[in-house]
Amino acid sequence: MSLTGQFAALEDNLTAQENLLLMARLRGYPKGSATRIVEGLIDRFDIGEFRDKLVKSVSGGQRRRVDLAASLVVQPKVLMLDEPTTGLDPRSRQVVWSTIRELVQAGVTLFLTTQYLEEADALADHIVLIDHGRVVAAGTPSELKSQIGDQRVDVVGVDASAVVLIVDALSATFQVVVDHNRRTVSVPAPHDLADLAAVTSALSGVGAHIDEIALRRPTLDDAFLALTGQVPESYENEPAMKEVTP
Amino acid sequence: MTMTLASMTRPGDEPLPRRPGSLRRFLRETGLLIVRGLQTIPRVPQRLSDVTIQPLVFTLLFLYVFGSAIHIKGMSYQNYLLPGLLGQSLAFGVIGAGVATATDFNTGVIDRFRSLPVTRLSVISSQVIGQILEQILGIVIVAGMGLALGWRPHMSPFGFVEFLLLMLLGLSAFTWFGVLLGMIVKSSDAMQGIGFAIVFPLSFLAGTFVPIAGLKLIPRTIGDWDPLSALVASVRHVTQGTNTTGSWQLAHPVVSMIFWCFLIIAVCVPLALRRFMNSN
Repeated sequence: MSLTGQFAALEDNLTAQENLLLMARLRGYPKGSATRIVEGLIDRFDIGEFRDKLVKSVSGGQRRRVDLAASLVVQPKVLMLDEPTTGLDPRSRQVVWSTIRELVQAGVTLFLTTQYLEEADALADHIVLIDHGRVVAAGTPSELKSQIGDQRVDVVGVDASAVVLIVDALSATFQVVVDHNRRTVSVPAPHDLADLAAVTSALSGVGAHIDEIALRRPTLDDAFLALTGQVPESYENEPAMKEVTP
Repeated sequence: MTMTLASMTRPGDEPLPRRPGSLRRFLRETGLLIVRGLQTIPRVPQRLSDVTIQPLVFTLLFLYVFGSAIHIKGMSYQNYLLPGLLGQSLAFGVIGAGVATATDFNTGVIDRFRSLPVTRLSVISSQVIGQILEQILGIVIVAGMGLALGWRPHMSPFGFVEFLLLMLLGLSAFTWFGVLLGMIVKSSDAMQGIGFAIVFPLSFLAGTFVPIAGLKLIPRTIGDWDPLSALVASVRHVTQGTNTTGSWQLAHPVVSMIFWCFLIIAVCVPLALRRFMNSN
C-alpha cells in the first residue's frame, strides 16, 4: 500500500532525481535498475526540466508530481491519494490525472479524496459524497447525477435584454428555468440532439444575441448541492430571480 | 502526456532482487539513509554552524576572555579549558541531535520511509549515526583549535585509545538522548529552547570553565551530581591525568561517566525505538 498525503513527503534538500533514486534504492533495487526506474518515472511525470533542482525550490505542482512518482516506486496494489491535485496548475493536473488513469487500468486500487467533484467524476468508478462528516450519497457518477435530473440545453444570452428575448422565444414550447445572474436559460432535453435542434430553430429569427448554447448533463457539483440540500449560491442570494415559466 | 502504459519503464519491469537477510538489509538501508543525510549538508551548510562556528567562537571567547582572569593551580588555562570544552561539545550534541531530529520528523519524508519496506530501526539508527558524524566534526574542530592555541594533553597511546572510546560512548549516549527528545518535542524551536534552558546551564556548572569546588553551595551541589560534571572530569582525567575533588562521582569520573552513559542508553534507546515504531 502506498500513501500520498496532501503535503509532499520528500527530502527538501535533495533534488527531484536524488529523491526518487533514494526511494528506489530503499525499495530494494540495486543501483542500475533503480536508475532505470527513476528515468522512467522522470519521463512519465514530465520531471525532466527540474530533475536536478532541489525539491524545496520547485513549484507546488512540480513537487506534487515528484511526490506521486515517489509513491509509485513502491509498486502499490492500493494507492491512497489525499487531494492529489489541490493547488496544481492545469498542466500538472493533467499529468496527475492521466497517470492515475493508467495506474487504475494496470490494476491498482485507488482511494482518492478530493474537493473537486469534476476530478471525482473524471477518475472514479465509485463515489462517496461526504458533507460535514456524513455520507450523503454513494454510487457511480452517473447514478449520482441521475438522482437530480436529466440533461438540459443551456442558452446563455449576451445581456439581460437578450435573456428576455430568449425566454419569450422558448417558453411557448418548453419548460424554462432562468438564471439571471448567469444569463442562462435552461430547458430539459431528454431527446438529446432533437431538443437541441428544436431550441436552435425556435431561437432563429428572434434576433437575440447568444453567447453560448450547449447540451449539458448535470454535473456532480449540481448533484452535491442538491443532495446536501444547499441551493446554488446564485439562487440563494437572489431568490427573486428564480423563475419557472409554465 | 502522450505516453502509453506499454511504452514506459514501470517499476515492475525491473527484477526486484530477492530480499537479503535482515542484518544485510538493515546495514544497506542504514547506509543509504546516512548518505542521504550527508548529501543534504552542502545544500544547507548553515545547519552545521553548531558544530563548526559555535565551537570555534566558544574556544576563542573562553580562552581569551575568561582565560585572562581565571588561574588554575598547577596547570595552564588551556589545559584546564580544553577538556571542559570537549565535554561541553558532547553535551551540546543533545541539542544538535534534537533539533535535527525534530526538523527531520516534521518534513514528512520520514513518513515516506515508513511506507517503504524499510527496517524502521535503520531510519532511526541512520539518524543517530549521522548526528554522531556531525558531532565528531565539532569535536575535531575544538581539539584542533585547542592544540593550535596551546593545549597540551598528556596521554599515553593507551590513554589516547581510552579517550577515543570514552568520547564515542559519550557521543552515542547524548545523541540517542537528543534524538529521543527531538521525537518527543517535535518542534525544532522548542528543542532549541529546552537545550538552552537546561543543557546550557548544566554544562556551565559542570566544572567546564572553573572548578566546581570554588562554587557556592547550590551550584556546587548541582555540579557535584550533574552527569555532565562526570563527563568533563573524566575527559580531564584521561587527557591531563588530573583528578577532580568533590563528590564521589568526581573522584571516580571515568567509572561514573560510563555508568551515566549506559544508563542514558538503556533508557533512551528503547523509548526512542518504541516511540518510532508506534507513532503513526
